[in-house]
Parts: sequence; C-alpha cells; structure tokens
Amino acid sequence: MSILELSGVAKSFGGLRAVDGVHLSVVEGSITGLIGPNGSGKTTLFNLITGVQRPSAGTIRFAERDIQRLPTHRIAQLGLVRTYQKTTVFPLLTARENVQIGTFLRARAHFLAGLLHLPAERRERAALARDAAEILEFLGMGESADTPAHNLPYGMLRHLEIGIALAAGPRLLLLDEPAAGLNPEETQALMRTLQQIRDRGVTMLLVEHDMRLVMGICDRITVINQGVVIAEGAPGQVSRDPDVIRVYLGEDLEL
Amino acid sequence: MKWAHVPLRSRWAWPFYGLALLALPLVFPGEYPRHLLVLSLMFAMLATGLNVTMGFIGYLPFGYLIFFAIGAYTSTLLALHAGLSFWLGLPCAGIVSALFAVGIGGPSLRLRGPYFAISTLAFAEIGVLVLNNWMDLTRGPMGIPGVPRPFILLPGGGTFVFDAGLSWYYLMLGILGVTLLGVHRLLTSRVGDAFAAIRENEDLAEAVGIPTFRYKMLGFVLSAIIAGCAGSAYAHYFTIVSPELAGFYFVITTFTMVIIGGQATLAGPVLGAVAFTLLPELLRAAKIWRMVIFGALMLAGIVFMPRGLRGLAADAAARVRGSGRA
Amino acid sequence: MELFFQQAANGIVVGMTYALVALGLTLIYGIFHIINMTQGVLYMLGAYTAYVAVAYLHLNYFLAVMIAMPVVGIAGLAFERLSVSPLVGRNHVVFILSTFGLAVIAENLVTIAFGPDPLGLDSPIAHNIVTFGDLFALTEQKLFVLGFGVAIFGVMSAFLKRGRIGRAMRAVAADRDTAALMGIDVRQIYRVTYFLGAGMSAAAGALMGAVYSIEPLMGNLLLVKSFVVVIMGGMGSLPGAFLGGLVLGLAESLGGAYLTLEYKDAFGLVAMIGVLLLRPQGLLGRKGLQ
Repeated sequence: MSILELSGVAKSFGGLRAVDGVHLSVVEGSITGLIGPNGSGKTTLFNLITGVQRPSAGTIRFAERDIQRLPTHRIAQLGLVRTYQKTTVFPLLTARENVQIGTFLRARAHFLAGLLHLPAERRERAALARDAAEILEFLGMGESADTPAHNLPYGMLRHLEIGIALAAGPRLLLLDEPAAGLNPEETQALMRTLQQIRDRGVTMLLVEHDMRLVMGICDRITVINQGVVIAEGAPGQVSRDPDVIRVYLGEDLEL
Repeated sequence: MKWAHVPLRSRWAWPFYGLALLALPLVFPGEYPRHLLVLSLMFAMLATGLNVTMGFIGYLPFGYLIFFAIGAYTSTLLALHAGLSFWLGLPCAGIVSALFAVGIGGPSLRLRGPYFAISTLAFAEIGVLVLNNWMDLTRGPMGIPGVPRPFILLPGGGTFVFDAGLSWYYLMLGILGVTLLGVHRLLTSRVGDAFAAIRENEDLAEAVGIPTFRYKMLGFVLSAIIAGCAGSAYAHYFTIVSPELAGFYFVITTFTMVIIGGQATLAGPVLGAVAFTLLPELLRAAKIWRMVIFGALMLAGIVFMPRGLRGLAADAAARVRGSGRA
Repeated sequence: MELFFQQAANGIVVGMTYALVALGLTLIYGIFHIINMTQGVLYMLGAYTAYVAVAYLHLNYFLAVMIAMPVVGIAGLAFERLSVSPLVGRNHVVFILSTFGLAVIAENLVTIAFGPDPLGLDSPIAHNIVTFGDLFALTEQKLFVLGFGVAIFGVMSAFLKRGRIGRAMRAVAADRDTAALMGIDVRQIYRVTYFLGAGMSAAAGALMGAVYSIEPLMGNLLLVKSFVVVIMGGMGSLPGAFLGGLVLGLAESLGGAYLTLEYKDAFGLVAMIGVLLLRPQGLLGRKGLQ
C-alpha cells in the first residue's frame, strides 16, 4: 500500500522551476531513497511534503489524505515527521528532554489536567517518559541521556535527531541526509539502526548522498535531476540506468 | 523541565521561608519600609509576567508595559464609573488585558525575533497615544486620581480598608503567591515543555507537531493577564493612574529586573524586582541617576550575565556541591 | 488650498529628517543585521553637539553641523564597542536590549548635564523665509535641510556603488563570512558603517534642532518613526529609507491637517503593522544592502 503519493508536484520560485511534474510513491513498510545531484530539488520536495512550502501545482497524499495545504504541525500530527540536513535539536536541553519533547504529540490528556496534576495525566507523562528512555536506549544513547545536547558529539546528535522524530510515533519518517558528516563505522551503525526502525513498523523516505547506504538499505530508489524524476526502481535497476549514470558520472564514462 | 523550578532546595525549609515572609513587615515597622516591600512585590509580579514570554518562550515583547497600563486604567474606570470593587476590578483588568493581548498577539506572533518586538512596540505606542489623547475617557497626561482603596465588609459590621503598607503587603503577597503558583504549575506541565521547545528551536517544535502559534499566544496572553492584574493592584494602591505606566521608566525598570534577576527561572524576576526596588531607595538615588544605572545594568547584564543573578547563584551552588549541573 | 501645499512642504521637510535617521538605521541593519535602538539618541547627540559648538564655543552654525557629524560618529564607534561587538554571534534580540540600555544611559546623562527643558539652537538662516508664489513658504533653514538630505542620500548611494569601501560594505551585508574570506577587514567595515550611520543621524539632529528646539528626549519618537520607515521601505534599502521617510512625513503632515492632529503619529505605526503582516520584507526591500 502506498503511504505517500506525489502526483504532478511542481514548485516555482520566481522564474525558477525548482521541481516539475514529480510523481513519487512510497510503499508502506519500505525504505525508499531519493537521490540526485546537488540542487536537483530534493530538499525542496521535502519542504513541500512537510508543509514548509506549498506546491505551485500537483497533489501530495499521505495515508489517503491531501496534505499539500496543511501546516507543518498538522502534518506531523497525522504521522509524517522529518529530520533536517543541518543538525537540529534543542541545544540547551538534555538528550532525554529532547526526546521527551518529541512525545508531545502523543499526549492525550488535556493540558488543564496537567495544570491540576491529575493522576491520569501524571501516569501518561510517566509512560511517555519511559518511551523516551526506551528510544534513547534503542539508539545507544542511554548513558548520555542527561547530557545537554550541545555537549554531545556530532555522531550522537544525528542519532538524537532521529530519536526526537521517532518519539512522535510517526508512520512515515523523512530523513534529510542522515549520514552527512559520519565516518564509515558510524554510517554502518546508522544503516543497522534504520533497518531496525523499519522493523518497528516505521516507513522511511530518505535523501542521501552516501551511495553505500542508499544501495545497502533502500528497497526502492527514485532519482531526481533538475527538478524532474529521471529514474525509479530497485537499487540494482537504477544503478544500471544509463540516464542515471550520465547524470552522476558525466557523459563519456563507460560502465 | 528542570530549570523552571524555584531554587528552594529542601522541602523542610518551606515553613521557615513562609514564616519569614509573613514576619517581614513586622520586623521593619514604619510606613516607608513597608511601602518598599509592597512595591517590590508589585514589580515582582510585573517582572514575572514579562518573563513568561521573554524568558520562557524566548520572544521579546517590547510593548509589554501597555498591558500594565490597560489593567490599571480598566480597574480604575470600572471603580470610578461602575462602582466595581477591587475584588471584581482585578479579574476584569486581567480579562481586558487578555483580550488586548489576543488582538496584539494575533498579528505580532506571526513575526520572528526583532520584528515581533517592534510590532508590540508599535501597538504599545498607539496605546500610549490613545491614553494621552482620549481626554474624555482617560483625562490624558494628567491621569486619573482618586482610585478607591479596596475594602472588605467584616462579619460583625464595619469595614476593613486596605490603606496601609501592612495590609497591602499581605494582600500582594497573596496575589503574587497565586501568580507564582499558577506559573509554576503551567511550566511543569506539557505547556512548559512546549514553551521550552519553542524557545530552543521553534522550527523543530513545529516539525514534531507542536502548534507553536497557539502556545505562543497562550504565553503572551498569560503575560498580559499578569501585567493587567499587577496594574489593577498598582492603581488601587497608589490611587492614581497615568500614561506614564507604559512609559520609559517602567519599561527599563521591568526589563532590567528580568535580565539581571535571571530569565527563564521563576525566582529570577522576583530577585531582580526586590533588588531593584530596594537598592535605589537605599542609595537615595535621584530618579534620573536611577535610569542611568538601570540602563548600564541592562547593558552589562546582557553582555556579561546572560543568565542573571539567578544563574550566578546556581553556578555558585554547583561549585559548592561539586556537581556539573545546578 | 494653500493649506495643502504648506502642509505638504512642511511634511516633506520633516520627512527628510525621518529619511536621514532611517538611512542610518537601515545602513546599520544591512551590515550588522541588528536593530539599533541608539539611532534616536545619536540624532539627539548631533543636536546637542551643535548646540555646545554654537553656545559655548561660539562657532558658526554651519561649522557646528559639520563638526557634529564626525564627533557623534566617534561616539557611535564607542557605542558599537559597548553594545554591539561584545554580542556578535548571539541571537538578534539581545541587541535590541543592549542598544536600548545604552540609549537610556546616554539620554539620561544628557538630561543631567543640560536639564530636561528645551534649548534653542541658533542658525543664521532659521528666520529668513522664502516664498514660493502663493502656494507655500519655507524658512531657508528648512530648505537647507531638504538640500542637505538629498545631497547625503546621493553621496551615500554613490559611495555604496562605486567606492572600494562601498563595495566592501555591500559584500559584508550580503555574506559576512565570504567577505572575510575574500580579504575584507570586516571589523573595519563595521566601524565605518556605524560611523556613517551615526553621522547621518547626527546631521539630521543638528539641522532639525535649529528648526524647532532641542531636548533630551527628541530622539525617542524619531526612533520609532524611523523603524516605521525602514520596515516600510525595506531593511537595507537606501532608496526605501529615503522615499519612505518623505512619504511618512507627508502622510503625517497632511493627515494631521485634514484628519486628526492628535493621532497623526499613529498613521505610520498602523501602516507599519500592516506592512509587517503582509510583506515583512518591506515594500522595496531585498536581502543585502541596496
């Protein structure tokens, strides 16, 4: 079943067509990769999907709903959460507090109950705190749980971002270059983590430049260049597609 | 979130603190010291209200003092024209301030950082213009004198009038206590988490599903309610209101109290308010030099002490205990 | 009908003052990306410096105006050192508070030194009236303000477009780090920018001080008005500041005459709120310095 469907999505900035006539489909339970050279429109697509920007044309359907006109927090409430390319956490809060903020969406109790410290609300807060702790453990950050985020090493920060997003209980997770700045061991660890996340039932769509990661864990890959989709399919297929090779490696290379 | 807690360490200390607070004006007899205490409590409330938006959410409401003036005038006009007692006037002041906050916050909260500050400043300037020029309603720059003192009817007949420093001290202590309790409860709830998230990284907060506009509005309205109620109390204590309440002196004083006292803590603004009400009086400084000193303190505070006195105290306490986090 | 032209003429003169202060504000915003709350105080200091030069040093008024600009420019450098440099890298809102604190210090020190009452700044041309047919009349002083303002605007625009420093300033405004990598001394550009911004406001103060009178709080309302101008015209846009200032002065003057005198200061504020909501980048503004 397709959890995310982009049909004919286009976006223009002034005279520039950043994205044009994009069709993209993400199957539930899969890891889908979105690759392409720098400036090809990948981040713009993410911004359009998450409501940071509105498309000039086309529709975006998530879990059978049109979301192209919804605000970001509404889209997150529906179960579509994203991480960012540049490290984005809550710097002065601890790792634990960071992830706990992620659970905000899942709190059902009315905030007045929180003001009055009613027992039902306290129980829910404790349960969400346990979930946050479990996510930290899952990501291997149990020991640094009480360290302020700005003191954490870079590799951990990238995991923390994923943790915050997971805490929101998403159905679909959009990851914007999760491996950026990671060394090969860290990238391997990330690949294992992402597969475990998929096993927990979270669908993922990721933008990435690291080809080992993309080829290694993605079930399907879409290739985009200059705002247009040029190839789509299983990793093996896509890596042999002549258009893709030309775009990435230049015209005159024989493979 | 941990950093919102009042820094009273052990539960056993509370009764002693409570007794000390209650006994304070008895230890310092005489109208003048008691007057200072009342003033400190009023400023503590005003500064706490500012801190909700400035320290906890991280938005700078430069026009904040207009809510103080709105509350004061509302309570005054209701008392003088509709015969409303202070006990009704105070909540009405809060409600009217809240309504204005919705009107001002609606447009302003869509803006970020400095633009928000300037937008609230613009609204406040318009408010001051109205206060100065709508002579029929506000008597302009002359202000409105003759605000009645609050009173309660005693069971045995007769009335008790709050007209002395002593009675006002306990009254303000109660009002401030309720305010601090309410703010504390709010900050240790999910709302406080949302505030922290918005302050630390608003885009990320939005991305994880927090309806940031709604929460910013909530904090802004709360700030306005606190300021409005403080204004009502001020009006009924000083018995005169004027557009000066939203003027430079109050602006710089309140902001300095929060910055030096310590933003994003509950105790900070209270500390700042007490320090900056008592100190200038003790130094017998003329009003003008007071402004110079406050300006210098604001500048120095921003540059050297971003976490204010409360932050310094926390650092000192941490060093004494040898731990990393206070 | 003469009322219209007279009011319009007065409005443009006042508007020129707004434009000059706004020019300084927008220049500083373009380079530092901060909102400088001391801009009004710099205007006031220009007036008082000219006053000291004329009343105590018995200098010629025009010389006093010429002196006020660099003197206040240097004061501006001190301001920058105290309220801007130590905070570079922190979020933009702290600058509002630090510059505000500094403005309060300066304003009250001047009040202590000179007293709160208005003082007169004497200019030889303040009383000669020039009539323009039957339409309106302006004192030579006011005409001088107009001419001076246009000249300053012209010089600054040319300076930004041609000169080596002007180009460097535009580079820093566009991207500070890249400019540094290209070998531009960013600290020097900061100092030049603040010096110029302060000087322009000071000139406005010295000129307008002779039209009305001077008092320590004269910069406050002007500061708010120049915010209005800069936000309407676009942060970092010199033509925006110039035109915006003139338009505001005109609107206030005509609105004050025909609509309501007491609330004429509100026109600009209401317009600014509207612009902030609909077009936060201003009516003419783009990124960087133009």
